[in-house]
Amino acid sequence: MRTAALLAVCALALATAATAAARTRATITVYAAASLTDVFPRIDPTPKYSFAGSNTLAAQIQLGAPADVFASANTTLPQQLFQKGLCSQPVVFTRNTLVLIVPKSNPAGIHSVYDLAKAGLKLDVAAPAVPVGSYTRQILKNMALTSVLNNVVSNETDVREVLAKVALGEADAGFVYSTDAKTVPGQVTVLTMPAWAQPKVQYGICVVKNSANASAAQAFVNEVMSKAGQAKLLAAGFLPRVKPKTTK
Amino acid sequence: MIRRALAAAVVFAASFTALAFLALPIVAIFAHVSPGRLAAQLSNPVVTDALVVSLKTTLIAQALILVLGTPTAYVLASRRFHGRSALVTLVELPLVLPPAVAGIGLLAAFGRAGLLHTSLPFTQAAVTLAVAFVASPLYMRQAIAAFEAIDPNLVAASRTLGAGPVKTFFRVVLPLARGGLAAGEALAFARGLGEFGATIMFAGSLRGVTQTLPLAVYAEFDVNFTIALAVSALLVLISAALLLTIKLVLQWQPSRRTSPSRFALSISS
Amino acid sequence: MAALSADFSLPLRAFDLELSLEVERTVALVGPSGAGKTSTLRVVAGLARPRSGRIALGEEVWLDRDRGVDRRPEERRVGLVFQEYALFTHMTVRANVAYAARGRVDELLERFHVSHLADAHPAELSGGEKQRVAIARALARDPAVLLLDEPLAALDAHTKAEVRSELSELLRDLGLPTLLVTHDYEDAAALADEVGVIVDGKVRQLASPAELVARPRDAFVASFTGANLLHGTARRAGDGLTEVRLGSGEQLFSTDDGEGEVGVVVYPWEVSVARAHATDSALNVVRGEVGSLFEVGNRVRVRIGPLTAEVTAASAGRLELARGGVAYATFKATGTRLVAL
Repeated sequence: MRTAALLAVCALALATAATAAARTRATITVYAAASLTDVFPRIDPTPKYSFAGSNTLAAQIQLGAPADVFASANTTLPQQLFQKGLCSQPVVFTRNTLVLIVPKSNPAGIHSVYDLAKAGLKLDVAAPAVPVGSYTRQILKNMALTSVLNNVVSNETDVREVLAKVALGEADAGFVYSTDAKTVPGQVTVLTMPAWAQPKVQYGICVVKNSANASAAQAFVNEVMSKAGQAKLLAAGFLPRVKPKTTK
Repeated sequence: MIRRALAAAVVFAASFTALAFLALPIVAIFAHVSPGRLAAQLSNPVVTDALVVSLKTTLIAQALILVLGTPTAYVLASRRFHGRSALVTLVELPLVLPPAVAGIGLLAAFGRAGLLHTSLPFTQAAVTLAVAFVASPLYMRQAIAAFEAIDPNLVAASRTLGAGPVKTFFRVVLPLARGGLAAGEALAFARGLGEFGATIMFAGSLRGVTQTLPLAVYAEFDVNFTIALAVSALLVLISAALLLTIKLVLQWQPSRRTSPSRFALSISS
Repeated sequence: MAALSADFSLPLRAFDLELSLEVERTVALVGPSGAGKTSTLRVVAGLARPRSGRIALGEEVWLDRDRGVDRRPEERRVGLVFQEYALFTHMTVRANVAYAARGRVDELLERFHVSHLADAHPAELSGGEKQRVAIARALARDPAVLLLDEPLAALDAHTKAEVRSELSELLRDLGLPTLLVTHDYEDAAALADEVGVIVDGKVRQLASPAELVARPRDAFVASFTGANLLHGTARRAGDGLTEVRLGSGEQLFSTDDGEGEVGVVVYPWEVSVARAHATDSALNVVRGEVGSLFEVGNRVRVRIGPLTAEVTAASAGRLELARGGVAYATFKATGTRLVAL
């Protein structure tokens, strides 16, 4: 009796696994920058997503990770993969802005980026190899505020970690994308950075060459680039893919 | 006849697979890069900084665990009182807690916005605390078991021979529990050295301050894979050396309570 | 030498242990396991705290619950030898003995013939050797009271006899108030001046071994000291005798007084065995089938019906006693005790 029950359970488990495998034959795996965590599933809920720092994802793809699509918070990383023959020619699919955030309680009394020079300040940033970390250092350089980096207390591995620590109130200030700040309304105060100092933040997407579902992968990229996809990105606070020509 | 041969074959295949599975990642680390290049990377400031941070924080954390944990374990092992099993469960809890959860817990308790409003996060002290938190149950469990295994008559005998509780602890209890305590400490040390999740959440990662060896591996993984490998190899070597030292030290004891095998790890002595 | 007085009440799992003892020389507490014997030693040593009571060595008060006095074990001058010896396994014999010693280690090792084992570890010693080391260790402390927990229980039969006489001599030499506990009456009788039979936490009778045998206070004491115990109904007969009718029908006489339901106590060594019915009417006779036969030294213990008789090996041989045969157990009315059931 017990043997029969055991066999039945095994059979059920195998059947479930088989159907799951069958289902996923058409499902693709998307490796995307952490800042896309909320918006990509809204564009298409079916793929399996892996969100992390773009540099970590790129390294994993180089080591043979089974990704079908790579969406990075910069164009450099996908370009490097393209040069190594690991993915298709990347295209820019959206842009973003860098902002300075402080916890709602603003324990260190930060009101502008210049206040970041305060002694003893706990400044949280991403590591330099992470796109947002690189952008952070660029914007500070542009504003001649690199010395502010002396107040860095931690180099996080992706932008959401920075966001979390500032939102929790553990860090006094941090640099994230404006889209990330929008995901925690009421927990942080956003201090915008001057437009002239902003680095070029362009997100690149490409199809991984070793993908087993190249067509499905390309279909996903098309979705992101479509009007519907782009509208969702704009709604989340991302900037239009192509910078509108200004008459200035 | 055939059934026995089949059974033997299955056991062999299972053992081989298990051992290979355990050995492969470790061997692969050393096979990926030549020892020469690995050794060269060890003088890299990223590596030396991480080594210093790791050693400092782990050693202080272990000292805390030993000094505070040993008497606690003894009390829990030798007394029976209401709520004792609840306390023992509490002591063992960090063991089953995912490291990330431990990190969140530490933030919630010691964070600036937490219960105690300390300025611990992002400091080296925070690393020490995180390491102590996740490693202590490994020591405590062994210590409690080691103390429980001591014949209470020996303790009673010591008292009737004129030795007070303190002298009894140092001359009878501690020497008899030595093996189990050492085994527990080895596990706690190894766990502490490898701590990642709670550390990165509670202390963050800053080279020279809070970036321990495991955090350095993760940080360098996508920047300079060779350094990541070098640090990983270093961690494997330290852990192996630690395990070996403990076994050799235990061998020197004239203990008659461990298994007949000379190299068996005495979990409960 | 000051005497130990112990008077206390300690609740145990199934009953309350209530004792009142004066130990001047050697007192043995005998009883079945679970009677509270080891607990008694623990209370005297300070390892267990009674609910109420007083324990003092002469003028030195060790415990007085009413006055809030409770000296810790290390402050009481006791030497406790544990049943399983409790030697420190991680120390050599020398270190064990030296643990509480005031410098007389070599002398003690010599006295107990364990000098040659000074550097050995307890695990390497035989039972007898361990016991000697345990005693030496306890004495090294220069105790005022000696407590022995089942001193002969862990020894094999052969070593036991030897050790018993050595121990008896030692206790006499030391002259310390000694309280020992054992489940074996013969050991108690051999080692102690006074024996207390303890059952379920209470002492049924405390007297010299001879007194216990001659005048057991009740059936339990009697059977515990090795007597035969039969059940019968008594009524007064003439000539200062009491007639007892056993359940099995025999009629016996005793010089003790008794009325109604009684226990009839006869010691094995007072029972003679015959193959034919005795004609001497002054003797009590019980006819029975010969059961087990076994030798104890140069004597033979033989079971005849409900009684155990102890005769010389020579007699046993002469009578050609064998299992299954019929024999007659005879004993005098003066050797027949009557006790309350």
